[in-house]
Amino acid sequence: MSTEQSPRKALWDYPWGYTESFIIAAELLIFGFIIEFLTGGQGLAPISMPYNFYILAIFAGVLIVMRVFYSQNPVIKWLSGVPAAISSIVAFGLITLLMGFIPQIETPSSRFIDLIGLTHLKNGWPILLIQVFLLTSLGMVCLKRATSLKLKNIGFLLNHFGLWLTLVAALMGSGDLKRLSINLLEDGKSNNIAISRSNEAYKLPFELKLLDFHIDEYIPRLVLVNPKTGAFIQEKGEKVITIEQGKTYTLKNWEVTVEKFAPDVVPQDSGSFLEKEIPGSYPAAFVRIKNKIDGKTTEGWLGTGSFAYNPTYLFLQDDVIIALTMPQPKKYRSQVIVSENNVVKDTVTIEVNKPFTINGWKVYQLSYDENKGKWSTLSVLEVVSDPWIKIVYIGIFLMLGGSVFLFWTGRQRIN
Amino acid sequence: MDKWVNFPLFAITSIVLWVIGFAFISVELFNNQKTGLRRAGIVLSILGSIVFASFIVLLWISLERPPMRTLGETRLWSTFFLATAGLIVYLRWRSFLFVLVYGYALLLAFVFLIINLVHPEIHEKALMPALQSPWFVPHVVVYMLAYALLGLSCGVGMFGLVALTIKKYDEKILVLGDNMVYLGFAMLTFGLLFGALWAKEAWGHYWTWDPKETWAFLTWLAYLIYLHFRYYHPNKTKTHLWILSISFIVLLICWFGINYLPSAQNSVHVYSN
Ligand code: HEM
Repeated sequence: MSTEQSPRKALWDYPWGYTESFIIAAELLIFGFIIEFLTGGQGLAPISMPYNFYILAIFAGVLIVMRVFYSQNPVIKWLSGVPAAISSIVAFGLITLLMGFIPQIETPSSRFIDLIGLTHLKNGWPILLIQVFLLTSLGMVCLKRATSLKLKNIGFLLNHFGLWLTLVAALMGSGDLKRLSINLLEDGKSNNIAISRSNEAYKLPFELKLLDFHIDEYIPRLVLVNPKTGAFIQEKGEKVITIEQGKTYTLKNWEVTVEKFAPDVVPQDSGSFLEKEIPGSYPAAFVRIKNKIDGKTTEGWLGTGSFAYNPTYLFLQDDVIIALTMPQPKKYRSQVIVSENNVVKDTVTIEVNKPFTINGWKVYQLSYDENKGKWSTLSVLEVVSDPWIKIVYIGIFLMLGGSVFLFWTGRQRIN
Repeated sequence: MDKWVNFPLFAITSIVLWVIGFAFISVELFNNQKTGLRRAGIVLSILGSIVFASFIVLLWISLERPPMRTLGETRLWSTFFLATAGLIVYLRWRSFLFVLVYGYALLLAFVFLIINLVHPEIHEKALMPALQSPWFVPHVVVYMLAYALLGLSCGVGMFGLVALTIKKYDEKILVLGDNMVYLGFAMLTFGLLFGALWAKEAWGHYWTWDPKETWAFLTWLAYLIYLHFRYYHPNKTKTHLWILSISFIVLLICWFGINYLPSAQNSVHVYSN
């Protein structure tokens, strides 16, 4: 990396430039990996209320004191300058790059890469040290510019202070973040015991009771499959066929007419199908198939099968079968009664992308018994509490404003 | 009453106005003089946006809620936003390259508009639940704009490197690159932040270092470095051109490359199966 210094300046003479900045960033990184190793490679336990708040207050206080009383100190000047900023961004980028290549895991074991923290970088020592470096630099820059609120500086502050707030709130807030999952069954019982990712039970300040869990499914697709490998026989870019009653489709050498489509059937012992919606029923289609080459026709039922029954398919050739895919979920939702201290508060519907909020908690539709598909009687919800989210949002909105600014002013004349 | 029945009328009027407007404006590509034709083009383009906006307003009134709930409704906003922002960007800079940027934005606008015309339910047919959100279209649209602009900036960067080697370099090249990056970076930030806001609604947390997020963040950092380094060391032309060219590789990894990375096998963003 190039430097701006005159050749006569010795390393570590002030003012510090790129060389010093990158050495410091590299030392922080290496130091981080060493501490990680010495502490057993378990990452850091996040700090929760009220200590994270104290630490933040002290950190912000130190930044302000440094800026107000020691602004002429060469180290403070360096921290408020571009080389420190760029080296900290590059170092943050390096850790992110490692995260981008090395699979990250929830529970590290005792391999060497686990011990130095490479498999759980997001909550390890190296990223913490670099983040503190970056936040110090970014914080000092904001304070330096905050003294004169010219229009140009407002755009600058929206971006820089917005990012500072978001990063700080995300870092500090991780100690107070609770992401738990709760299992609800359609069995009429209330539940308030949620489980963390490390399998600890947590008692929620409210109770949830599942009235109904419901899945809307997409219509199944018509596919050719190789029975030996189980692989779809499909040309790249070929259109996906969702079946419709009365339509005729062409798949390779076969013309397939869907004579009948039934969303819910159950197979009978006789080999026929009964249209009925009961647990385990599944979509099926009666098709007539014509081989375009030799003109031969066959007909029969295709069924997706379900947790209770096997799928039904037809052989077209030794190595080609025609079948229906398992239907994909389109929407799934839980109707839930929420109560506090056994007093019913509300009946709500929770759906993916439509969480429900109660007393600072957000309740999300997470999953269900995938094996049973639309017949699942289990609904898994996620309950999240993140008291710092408001600050994160403020930071995000400041940055959005800053982006509008950047979009409008564009590149100013450069120096 | 269902206002969508009037959609083809408004849509086709807007398309015609936009296309003729753009055709008039693009005369500038061949003729540098300020002609009356160009002014007429600008007026027609603005009219196109006004017609389209009136449809959104009418729909809003008839639905008695902001039309932002279904994917079809969000595509309306995207069409309007792309066509209008493209024009504004062009009016703001007036350089011939921004005629192309406007053209590209219009093209994207037409994609969304035509989907709404001929296949309004297309995405409703196969989207997995996590993607069925009003955030989906805006998130994707700003990223497409960002990628296009930054792709152009990469072209500019490589062009500059070649020009530098054959000693034909002109400072105008990087100025052009800067314009692309400032706009592209603003869009990239929008995309990233929209993504974070959406993730909070869909998955419970705004940032989880999912591989796609990780690479999107890296891309963002690469251009962040460019912005700062360029601003404070304006004479290091060669380094600027290199950062410009290389940052786009990070972007490409984020865009497609990630499907092939071992770290991304469990990504919630890899939608193929
Ligand atoms: C949202 C992300 C960011 C954007 C859009 C951004 C943009 C900019 C721009 C446009 C400038 C020069 C414009 C001016 O002088 O008004 C600038 C300056 C600067 N930025 Fe950033 N930046 C961002 C993040 C960062 C970060 C993460 C750091 C440090 C860790 C940083 C440190 C600096 C510094 C030190 C300056 C020079 C300030 C001065 O000399 O007064 N920026 N930034």
